[in-house]
Amino acid sequence: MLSASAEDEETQKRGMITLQVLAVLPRLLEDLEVIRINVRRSDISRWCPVRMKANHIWVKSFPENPFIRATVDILTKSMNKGNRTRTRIHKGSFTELGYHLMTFGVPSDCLPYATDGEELRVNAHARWLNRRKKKEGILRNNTTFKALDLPGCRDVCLGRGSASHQHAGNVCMRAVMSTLVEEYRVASAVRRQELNRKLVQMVRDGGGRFLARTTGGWYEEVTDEKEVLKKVGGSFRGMLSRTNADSPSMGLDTANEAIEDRSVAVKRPRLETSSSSVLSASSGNKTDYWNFAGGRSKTQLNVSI
Amino acid sequence: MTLARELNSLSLQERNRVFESIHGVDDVIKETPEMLEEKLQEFQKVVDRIENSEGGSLNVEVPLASRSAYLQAKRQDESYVSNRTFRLMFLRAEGFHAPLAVQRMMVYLEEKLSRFGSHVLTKTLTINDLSPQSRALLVDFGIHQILPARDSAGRAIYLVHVDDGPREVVRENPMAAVSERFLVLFLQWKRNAWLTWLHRFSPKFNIAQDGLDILHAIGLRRR
Repeated sequence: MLSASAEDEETQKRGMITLQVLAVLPRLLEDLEVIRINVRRSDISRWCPVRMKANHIWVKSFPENPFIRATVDILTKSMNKGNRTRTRIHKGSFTELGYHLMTFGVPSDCLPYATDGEELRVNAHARWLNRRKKKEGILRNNTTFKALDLPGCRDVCLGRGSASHQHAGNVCMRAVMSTLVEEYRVASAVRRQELNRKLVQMVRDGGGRFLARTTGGWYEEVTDEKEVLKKVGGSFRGMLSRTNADSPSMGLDTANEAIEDRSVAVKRPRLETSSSSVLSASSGNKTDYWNFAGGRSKTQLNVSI
Repeated sequence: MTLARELNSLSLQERNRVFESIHGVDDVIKETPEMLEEKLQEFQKVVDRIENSEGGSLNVEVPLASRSAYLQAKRQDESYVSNRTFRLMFLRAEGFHAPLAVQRMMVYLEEKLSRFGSHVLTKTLTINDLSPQSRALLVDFGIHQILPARDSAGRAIYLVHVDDGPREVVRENPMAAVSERFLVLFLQWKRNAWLTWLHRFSPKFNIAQDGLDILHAIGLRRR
């Protein structure tokens, strides 16, 4: 698995972190097995083709048990000094672990556990294995495979759902977008296209790519410039409608003035495009995901205008 | 205590580097085509010197087994070990320190040879190359997982889950299993005497609570 993940260039550049979960019944036999497995695993940092940047150990069960404590002790002492200083041991419930890991930048919602932390989920893992098998089949015939398993932290994912919405690259892009949204609000159609292009260029200059999920489950870079610009424009409009809805200062008069100003500049669809209309417009196109206007903004926007 | 002592023994810069690395705020080396070419050439020079047994002057220790594994791989398929992408992988893993990258590459080849055999030494590892036991652990139980998201610094997350699920324990070394069984039998022998001894050794030891924990631990009492 490590060799498989080492094929990813982003992982090579940024490294990898490990999370070891000790959830064993404190029986000596099991404990020794754990020690053996983990001591063997800790050697990986010596030869693994990816750099291990940090190591987290979650002692899930019986943290105060003497045998578990001894196990953790042996485990950490068997590491080399460089690894040991990069190791953090966490005790407590799954919720506490989530909060601890968040302080290290690890998103807790990606952990493959049920909400109580008891059950290990393997759905995402099964999907990964399927993709891997397909990839191995493709690589047997071809020498190159450009699709990505994991998008990089600067890449922007075009897709629905919280996974794409909360992806670091998307969050960054929205932060940049929020600085341009006021200019976008009063801009003409031509100027809006320029702003779209400017934002796309800013993302690319920062080392980001625009990725869309393929049917196989991988991410692939969207090469069609028109499609990228269309998504960014949709995202701008979504943010615009959301800021209109959220802003208490944006009353009826201000919104109408803004609409009139823009209608003078160029004739185009009105601002009150609701999320339902965007959805219906995009229903024929599977990759039209750039809609940040939720149901809340839809209703509030209609009321305010 | 050990961790605190070791952190204290580090210099301020080293400690900062460790903390930055853990929290994912460390710098990523910016790569330019010129820099990559330069480092790859340096890598080749180090490989040549180690091949000619002149590695001692580089302050890196390449075990003999690793060196011979590399030479075997080179004999099998030279294009594999001299592949640019393959070498860049190890250079990036060592922060473009060429001697350490060469060392890592050779140790990697040794590990690959010892775990999977010579027939996959110069091939990309696939799921089919895993042993049936490892495959069962990996595929059926999901004990090792690459999580479907990166952390805030863009690093992949590798999870190892060890639990007490009703699965067969894979033992690669039968002698280790036998010795562990003897150790358990030894602890089970005169178990009350052990508990009394522990109580005498540590006055805070509570037979009622800690003793039960130990009985659970050595498998004499089920919860």
